[in-house]
Amino acid sequence: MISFLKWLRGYLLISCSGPMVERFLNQCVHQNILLWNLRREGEELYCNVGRTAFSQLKDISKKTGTRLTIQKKCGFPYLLYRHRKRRIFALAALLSMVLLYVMSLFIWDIHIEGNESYKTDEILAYVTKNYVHGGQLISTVDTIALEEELRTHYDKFAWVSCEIQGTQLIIHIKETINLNVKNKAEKPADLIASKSGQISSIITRAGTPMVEVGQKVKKGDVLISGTISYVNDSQEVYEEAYVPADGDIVAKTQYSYKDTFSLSYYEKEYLDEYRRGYELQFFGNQWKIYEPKNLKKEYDRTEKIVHVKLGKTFYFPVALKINQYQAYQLKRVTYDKEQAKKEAERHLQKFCDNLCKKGVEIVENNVTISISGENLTASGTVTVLEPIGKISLIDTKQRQKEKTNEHSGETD
Amino acid sequence: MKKFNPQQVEERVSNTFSLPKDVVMGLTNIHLIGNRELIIENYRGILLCSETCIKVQAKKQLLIVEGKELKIVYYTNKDMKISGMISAISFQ
Repeated sequence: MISFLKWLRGYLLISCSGPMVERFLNQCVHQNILLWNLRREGEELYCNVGRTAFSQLKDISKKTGTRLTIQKKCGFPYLLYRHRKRRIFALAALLSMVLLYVMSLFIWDIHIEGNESYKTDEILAYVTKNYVHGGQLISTVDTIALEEELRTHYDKFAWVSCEIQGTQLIIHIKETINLNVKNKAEKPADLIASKSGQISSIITRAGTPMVEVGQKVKKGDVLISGTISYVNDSQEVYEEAYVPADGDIVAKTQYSYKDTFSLSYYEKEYLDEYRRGYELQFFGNQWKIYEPKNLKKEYDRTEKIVHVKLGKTFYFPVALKINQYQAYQLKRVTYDKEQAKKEAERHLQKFCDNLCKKGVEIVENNVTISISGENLTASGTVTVLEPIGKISLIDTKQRQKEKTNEHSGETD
Repeated sequence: MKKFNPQQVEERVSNTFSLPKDVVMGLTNIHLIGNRELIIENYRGILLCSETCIKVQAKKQLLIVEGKELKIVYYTNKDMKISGMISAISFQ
């Protein structure tokens, strides 16, 4: 950095000769003139000195009888001086700098990461249609509003964060583990069962627990009530309060699993034919440069977009889209029994992995695999431990009314 | 009667009050990195500068740096940096 600053301000490589060169150096330093890269080559002493400081050296050199010779002029001011006649070049350099600055004021790329349930294209289409499109001024992008809108539009988004780096808008997404289960409410509420199952553990933080460990519950049953009853010495309820019930309830629940597939299937056999097509993307428009002709009927098409960018995040509105075509032919293959079982187990493992991602713990799986004729069927249940508490707001007025009706019935 | 020695007094003051000797006694501060680089502080000026020997006048002593391909990377009022293959540092 320091050497760049020296280059920017310009410096000279000078050679000093004379009987009192060391005295000359000391005098320079006493007058606060910075010297660097001092080295002796024969009788001459070479050193670097700043462009502006050089004029001060003349007096000292006279006083000490030192002869100064400029060997080389380095730095930006001298470069400008050397190229003073190349006006168009300078103009183009200036223009490109202005253009670079103007380009940096706009969003040229939107990057989405962390999405699993929704496709990137889908979110991108929604964002570009409603909020931010390529080529929008960065100053007009309200990232906080965009975060809020994305969270409300997509139910499964638990957390969205938008940031602008260079000319790129990056949307970080985290999806919810289990939508049905919410354990915190601000208004008086009960916690009810979001699924049927057998209670495995219950921890109550607020409210009255209504179920015990080992008890079987159905969907909609109240697990922790938001009503707290105060009783007197004779165990009669004299007052009731309503709170937002809070607690952790884990229950043993079951997921049914069924997977059927045919033993014979088509497999892609890739051929040697591999071709490429090119498209140029410029300010959101696309032009085909080359598209391969006479392609085979069946091929895999993959797209690869090569962006023009400076560094990691300074994107430009220019990109090259490469379409890759890999031809293949379909071949009919049949699984033998072992292979088919392995495939069925792989499907089941995938199902279990997806369940684990939701934050549940698999306790047991009772899946049986059977082969009948041309088809393989894997069916059964997977038992898991999962949180099942779901908020259900209490209509306090309604509940109080019911209570008074009960009392009046009792007195009648 | 003992002769007054200012150097001894300075050293005693430095030891008693735990003050740095380079400040109290005006000694040269030398920072050596292997045998490649040498940073010198607290000096008066250069007496000789050649490829094999650099003589630096400190406040009370003369510092001699010997070696090969010696070069002063920078030289200011406060400090200087010498680079090259340093073989010996001595005081006179």
